[in-house]
Amino acid sequence: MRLTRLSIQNFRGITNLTLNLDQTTVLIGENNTGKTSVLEALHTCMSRGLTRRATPFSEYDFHLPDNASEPSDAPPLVITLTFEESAEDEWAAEIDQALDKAIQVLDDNRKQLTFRVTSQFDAATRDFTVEWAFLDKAGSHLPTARNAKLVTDLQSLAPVFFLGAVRDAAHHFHAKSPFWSPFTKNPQIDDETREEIESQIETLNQSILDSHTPFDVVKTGISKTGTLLPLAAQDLVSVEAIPARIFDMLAKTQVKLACRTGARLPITQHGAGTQSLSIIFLFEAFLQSQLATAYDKHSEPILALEEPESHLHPSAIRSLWNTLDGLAGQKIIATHSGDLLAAVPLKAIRRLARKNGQVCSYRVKDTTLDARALEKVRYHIREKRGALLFARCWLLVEGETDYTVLPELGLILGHDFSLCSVCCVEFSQCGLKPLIKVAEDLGIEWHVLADGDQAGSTYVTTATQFLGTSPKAERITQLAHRDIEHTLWHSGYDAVYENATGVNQRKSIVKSAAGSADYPTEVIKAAIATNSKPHLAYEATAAVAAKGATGVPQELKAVIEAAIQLAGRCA
Amino acid sequence: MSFDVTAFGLNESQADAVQWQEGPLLVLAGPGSGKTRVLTCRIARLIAESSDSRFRVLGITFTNKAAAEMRQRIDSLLRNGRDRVTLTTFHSFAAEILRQHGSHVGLKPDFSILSDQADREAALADAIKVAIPENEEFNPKASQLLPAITRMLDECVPVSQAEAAVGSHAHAKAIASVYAAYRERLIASNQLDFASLLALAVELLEAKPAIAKQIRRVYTHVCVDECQDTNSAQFRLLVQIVAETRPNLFVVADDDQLIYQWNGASPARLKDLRDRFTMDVLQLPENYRCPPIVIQLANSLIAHNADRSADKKPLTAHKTGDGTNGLVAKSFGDFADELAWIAEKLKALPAKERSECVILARRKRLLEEAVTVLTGKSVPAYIAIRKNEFESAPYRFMHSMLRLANAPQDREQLRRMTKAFFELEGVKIDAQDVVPVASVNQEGYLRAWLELADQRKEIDGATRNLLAKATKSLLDRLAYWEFVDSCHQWFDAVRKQTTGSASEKAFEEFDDEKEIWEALKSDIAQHYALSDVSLHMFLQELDLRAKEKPAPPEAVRCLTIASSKGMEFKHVYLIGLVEDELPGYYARKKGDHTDEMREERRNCFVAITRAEESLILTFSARYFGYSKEPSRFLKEMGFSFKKS
Repeated sequence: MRLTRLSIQNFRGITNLTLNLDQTTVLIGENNTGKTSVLEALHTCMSRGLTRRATPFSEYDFHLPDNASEPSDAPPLVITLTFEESAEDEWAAEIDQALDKAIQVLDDNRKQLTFRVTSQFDAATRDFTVEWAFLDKAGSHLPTARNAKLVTDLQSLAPVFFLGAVRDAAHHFHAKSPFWSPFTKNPQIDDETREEIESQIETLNQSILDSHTPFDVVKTGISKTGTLLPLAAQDLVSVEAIPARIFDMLAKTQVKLACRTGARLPITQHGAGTQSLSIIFLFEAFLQSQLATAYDKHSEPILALEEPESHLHPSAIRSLWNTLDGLAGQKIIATHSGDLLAAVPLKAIRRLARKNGQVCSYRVKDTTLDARALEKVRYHIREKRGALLFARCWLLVEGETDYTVLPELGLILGHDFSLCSVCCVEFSQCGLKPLIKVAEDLGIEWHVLADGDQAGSTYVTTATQFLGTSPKAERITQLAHRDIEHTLWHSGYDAVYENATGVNQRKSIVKSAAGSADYPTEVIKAAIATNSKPHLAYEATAAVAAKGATGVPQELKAVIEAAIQLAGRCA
Repeated sequence: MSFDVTAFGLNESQADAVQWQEGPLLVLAGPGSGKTRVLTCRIARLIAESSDSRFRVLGITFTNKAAAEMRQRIDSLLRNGRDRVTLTTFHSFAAEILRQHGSHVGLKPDFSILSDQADREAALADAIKVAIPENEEFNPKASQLLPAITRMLDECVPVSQAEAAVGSHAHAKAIASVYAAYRERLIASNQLDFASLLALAVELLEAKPAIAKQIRRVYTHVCVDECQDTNSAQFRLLVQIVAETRPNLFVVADDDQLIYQWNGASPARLKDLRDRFTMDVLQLPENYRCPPIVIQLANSLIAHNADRSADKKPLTAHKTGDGTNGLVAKSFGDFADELAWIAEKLKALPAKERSECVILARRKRLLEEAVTVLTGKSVPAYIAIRKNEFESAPYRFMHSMLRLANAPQDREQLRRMTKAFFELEGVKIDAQDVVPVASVNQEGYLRAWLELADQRKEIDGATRNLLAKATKSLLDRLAYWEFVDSCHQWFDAVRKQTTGSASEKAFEEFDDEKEIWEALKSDIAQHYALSDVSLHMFLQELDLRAKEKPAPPEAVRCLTIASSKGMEFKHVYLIGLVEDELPGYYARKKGDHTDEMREERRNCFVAITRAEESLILTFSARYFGYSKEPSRFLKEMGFSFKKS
């Protein structure tokens, strides 16, 4: 059963958010945009405690609009889960049978199930209450679906597992952990073998204790308990070096991983990265061999996974995606890792961001890009390690020089692009249009810097189509001069290019006389021929830096400030 | 888990039916053949033998009472998996489908059910206003048109074919538009009557096959009891919820006991069913109920019906014990003598045994007369009168309060509540005054009424307390069970105060209706966990059930043959065995070899086969001043008459 939609109202920082979910969905967003809230809201709704009387939510789960508000005044917390078939008759007959009373048939014959959990303060009982309901297609509560067994059946047919950012092996490889414990239960040893093993252990225990005598004192001491309390008359105190019973022993089994030296260390003694990763693999093993017995043979798990990348080296992260993608069931993954994103399909990404103070979800729509454009954008994202997906504003630039120079000029002006969440994105490779569309879909602000030449004018025309209600100056800048090199030249940095030109290059390229119209173009060309573009860019920024903030050409300063202002909008 | 059918002492054919595995089966079960036991054992077996499956078994019975009885039996047979059995009636099942999927036709799940004739007429009157312009020459009354509209709904006539269905009426077009308007009116006000409940469910399943498919996936096995009496809409519903080919459809029926022709049942339907699904047939002719002599009469009688199932086996008597005193037939000069004689016979019986006696007649009129005579001779007698609404003031008050909590703008309920409140408390708060308050404060009528009541100084403490509870538990939290409890406490308090006063009258029917209330409540509780039942669902279920009072102990029951369906009694008195009574006047007019006459014959067959120990057949020369001939059925049963 695929969870296709998750709607959350008034839960922690979220006032109203609807997320459409795929088989794998990756949530990104700055801190405090509600990624964890989304995962925990889902997990809480599908937790076993839900059908009990007390609310599984805590006071701070209620949305508090300001510091003065009390959880008891908070608007009702509402979480709605919608499950849908992706094609008619996708759900097994057993699922239809178990959940029948809650199932709706859509107009295209696919089946749907909508489950809503509401929690609020009840003034009459002075307590927080929780209520659940299944809804019909039109959003009315279904009176036919009031049996709590429907909830428990749903929870076992679509169990939600939450793996938080902190994954501690001591916790997950514990006898009470949901993933580890099924492996240690129900010993598959026949009675005869078991008795034989247990008797061997007893012998072993005895020989250990016979050779290690200090416990005798303890035994004598503790046996005094029997004089005060009614306990067994004989063999009151025994000491076990190893658990004497198989079930006890299984519960205490531990997993060891051999490190490079070959020493086998308990998993809890390994580094945080290893622990974190091993738990993901434990979960995979659980799904493969225990899920059907622990839940239902028709169970399709939903994994809510927070920061799978935590504590891992970038190259380990890059290969992690294949593992995650290969896990059975549906996955909702929250991440801050560009390395991971580099491997994630663009359409699987949901960007959470605040708009007018409200958390919203953005995604690249199915119709936005054709296959070729999608591939190009993906390539771009992969190449930049996903960094651009974390920005609030894209400064879309034509070439390499702009890409290098502008962030540096920003620094000179006292604006750190990364702190302001502005990202320079070169558009020449994959085209301007696809990138603006992706930015629009993802709710990322954008500003285009186009050259002053013919091609630049075409870009301006393209970008103008996407202005919407924004004034042109806010989103588009076309340089007065041919390109950024010319802009710098005419802003008093001609010396940079003059000095960087080698004698031979000048001889073969510069034909016009100094002061003539074509002269700057020829010198710049010769300078580029002498040096690489990046080197020239470095020289130019160094020259600007020497002058300080006032040295930044006015036109470029305006572009940088426009981008920073746009980024500030989504704060 | 296996299920040992040998443990139930079933005969061979019963055991075959219980063991029936896959595919369609028609069980032709004669009267007293243990069909209920067969049905329950089979359902229990299906569930017990599939303990790791989730499919459900649907059992459809003719009455809520039969469903409740079967549920009890199955509960005693099964330890696990009871929740996989749904026992219901066609109407309740249709309501369930519409609650869950009604949004496709514009219904909300909290629709209410118009069980009262007056409410239906009011709705139809609205529809007539909409469909027929004023000053039109054709201006029918709602009460005139309602039977035709009901018949069309019973036949599931789609709006598009309504005009053709009306037939050659001068105003067919107008009636068809009233039909459409009535249906629209019901949906717009989120109300349904019994007929539209079935019709809309059928139309929904026919229009949205995916819903029907879902039902078939869930209920892989369907069992129907008394299938011979299904009407067209019920039959169409049944066809929708079973697979087209070789469905696991287990039908128990007896074409000889078809007595609901007047309700749309038809002998052709069982044939249609057999042909449609090429059903295997299993007969249960063994009768364990009646004395052998009664079986002999029954076989002779029913042999006169020409349209019976081919190869229908005659009943065989298996009742053990002596059957010598089993039969009495007696003629009288006048109906009064007939009743007087019966009264004496019943009076001679020990009081305890009277409740095991029944007086049966084709028509209610004879029974009413019988009750009068019996009561006159101090023999308590009871006649069931179908009642769709509560009649005592306390229950009218509580029921309309609950309905108002569910549908806050229902004026009719407001009117009923204020009236009942006046009868109970003597304080008049006019419905006319409540409506404007509600609209100014933008609130429901109940809240507005409670506010007005609060301002009335003459209302005393106990009542104030109840009204405060109505606000707190019913309106604020919809905790309606709390409110119901408070109501009952208040009723007791009011009753104590009013003893001897004029308002004492308000409590006349109270004790009976309290019993009814408790019975209905526990019936609904058997179906659903009460804590899971929302208010509107509870009200719907309440509306689906009749509110007639249970027979008092030690009273002789007087039943029409139609309502004695499925019952059995130690001593059966079948009265009025004359032409124009049984067979009725209409059938005799129609003639000998008509469906109508055959239906009369089956009525007689059903009547006599209710008897466990004795059957007393009586007839007189005169009824209500008219002379009547002895019924032809007497002859057909094998009685001969000496000329006197």
